[in-house]
Amino acid sequence: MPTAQPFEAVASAHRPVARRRAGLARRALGGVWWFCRRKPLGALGAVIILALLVMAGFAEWIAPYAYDEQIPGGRLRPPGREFLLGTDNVSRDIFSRVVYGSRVTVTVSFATVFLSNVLAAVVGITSGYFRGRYDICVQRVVDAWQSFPFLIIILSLLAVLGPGMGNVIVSLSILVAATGSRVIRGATLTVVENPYVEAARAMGGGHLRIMALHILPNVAATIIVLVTIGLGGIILAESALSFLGYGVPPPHPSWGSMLSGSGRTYMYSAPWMAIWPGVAISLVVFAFNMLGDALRDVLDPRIRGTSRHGRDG
Amino acid sequence: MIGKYALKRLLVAIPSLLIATVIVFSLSRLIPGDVVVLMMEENQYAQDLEEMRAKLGLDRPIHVQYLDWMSRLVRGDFGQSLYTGRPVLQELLRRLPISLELGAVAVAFAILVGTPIGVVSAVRQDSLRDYGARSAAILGLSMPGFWLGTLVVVLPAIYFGWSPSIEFTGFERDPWRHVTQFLVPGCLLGIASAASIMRLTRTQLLEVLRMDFVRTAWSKGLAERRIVLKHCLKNALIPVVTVLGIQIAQILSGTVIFESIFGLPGMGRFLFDAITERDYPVIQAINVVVVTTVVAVNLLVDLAYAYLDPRIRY
Repeated sequence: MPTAQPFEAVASAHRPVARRRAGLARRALGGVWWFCRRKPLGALGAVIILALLVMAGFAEWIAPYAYDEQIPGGRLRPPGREFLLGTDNVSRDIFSRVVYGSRVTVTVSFATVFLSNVLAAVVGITSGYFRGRYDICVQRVVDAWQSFPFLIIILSLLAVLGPGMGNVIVSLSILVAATGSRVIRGATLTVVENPYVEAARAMGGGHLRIMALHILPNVAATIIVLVTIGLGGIILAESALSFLGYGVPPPHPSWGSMLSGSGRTYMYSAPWMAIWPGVAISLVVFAFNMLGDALRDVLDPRIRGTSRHGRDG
Repeated sequence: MIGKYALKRLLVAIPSLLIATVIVFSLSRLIPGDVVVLMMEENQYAQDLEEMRAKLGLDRPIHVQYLDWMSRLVRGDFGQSLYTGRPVLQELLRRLPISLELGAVAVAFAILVGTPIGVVSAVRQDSLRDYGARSAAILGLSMPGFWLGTLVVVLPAIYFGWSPSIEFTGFERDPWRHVTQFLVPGCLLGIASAASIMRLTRTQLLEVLRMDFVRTAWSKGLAERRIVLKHCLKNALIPVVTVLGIQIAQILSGTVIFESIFGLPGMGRFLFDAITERDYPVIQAINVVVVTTVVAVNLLVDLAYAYLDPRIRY
């Protein structure tokens, strides 16, 4: 952390609140502008993600039809003026289903990324902070989890727990948390060596206080990068599960399930049924990958050079 | 020296494998009671609840169950399928080669495509080719495999009246068709790994290109081709070898999807069918085989790593 910051904080404390807020807003805007100019592709990713969030939040207003509405006389119609992306084999508007489908994508991916990173932060920080025998035990368990190909262990878990949004979120989270905790542990190991941690300990700070107030803020950049990069992978995983029929159960549309099931036989005569949900998934994952790469370059040069599936921090 | 390292690395792998078996074993303990009833009534796996619980091994103390299960695993007894009643091992041995063939095509594609593009991308950093390759790699990581698979089956059928085979041909029936049927799904399966390898090759090579010994090589007047391919690539590829170990797990995941789309009766398909039929002994057995494969491959990769680069020790 730069030394100028405390001084700035003291100086700004004397300014009137309104002016301070305006200054903050201007600085934030400046930061956004700087990011857009330095990382145009990352900014493009952010715009696509914003569009996704708007789509999920205002699906009722954006979609011309309900997701399960069967339009009379509108079976297997190609994309055109009337139906933007065409209709499917049971006369439902595909555009509306894609719009509503974004809800599943957003809910599952954000819930998973939140849950998994909380878990990863707790495991990773305690593991890197306490070290010793505890660390060795925890890391062996993480190793074991990482040896499972994700789809195989998640399908097996869902076979036991049964399909459903909650179960998908929980099982995805446990798996994503394993990889995340390894990276956060790596970051913690370097943060712990800093003199301010020793100082905090010398002043009588407890373990919990040191981890929450001194280590967590300093590994936050790593966590933010993990969140953004992780989201793309989680969306892919969720759509793969939905495709295989173990995702969110019908009638709720999800992008993965729109590509599977009874509709597959109709795709030979109505290719638009096969194309658009996949385009939606690819576009959103592409956006998260772009934004994640850009954020990683800006926030955390330490984990540059590791792949999306990389193990070490 | 390498022998000592191998021994150490093996000792680290064993606890991981043991913990993994505990995880797989716990799976059957997680089955909710009503599902056990369902298995009995719907799939008719047993006459009454008592027998069903005995078949799942739920009728004895947990540690006894685990030790019994492990000792049978070690002796090669993977249990019996509830659905067919046949030994799981027999079925696995028939299906494993199909998944391995598919995986081998994917790995070959990933290396043959990922590495050269990564090299070109690094050597011509920030050129049009570099931007193109990097964007393609991110796109490759973004497109879901099951979608690409679906498109490859559906679109040519519509526009050219041709589509890749989605019926399995055994080796003994037609060796040529047997091998070629893996090409399309294998390459599709390898795309994401190719993208990962390309990105890692690029970043690693960029780092190596800035090292002192490379400057020395330049000032000696060596040709670019020789510097990049002989001096740099060897050093840059070492981490790529490790990532390949991680990619194996990703590729094994993908077999579940691609075997379903392309109708290949491999292990991924076996798992998927077992899950639909709630055939838990099969699910457990496949998980054990898969996790052992991944741990073994990673062990071999780490040993290769130490062999390639004598500086690296655990």
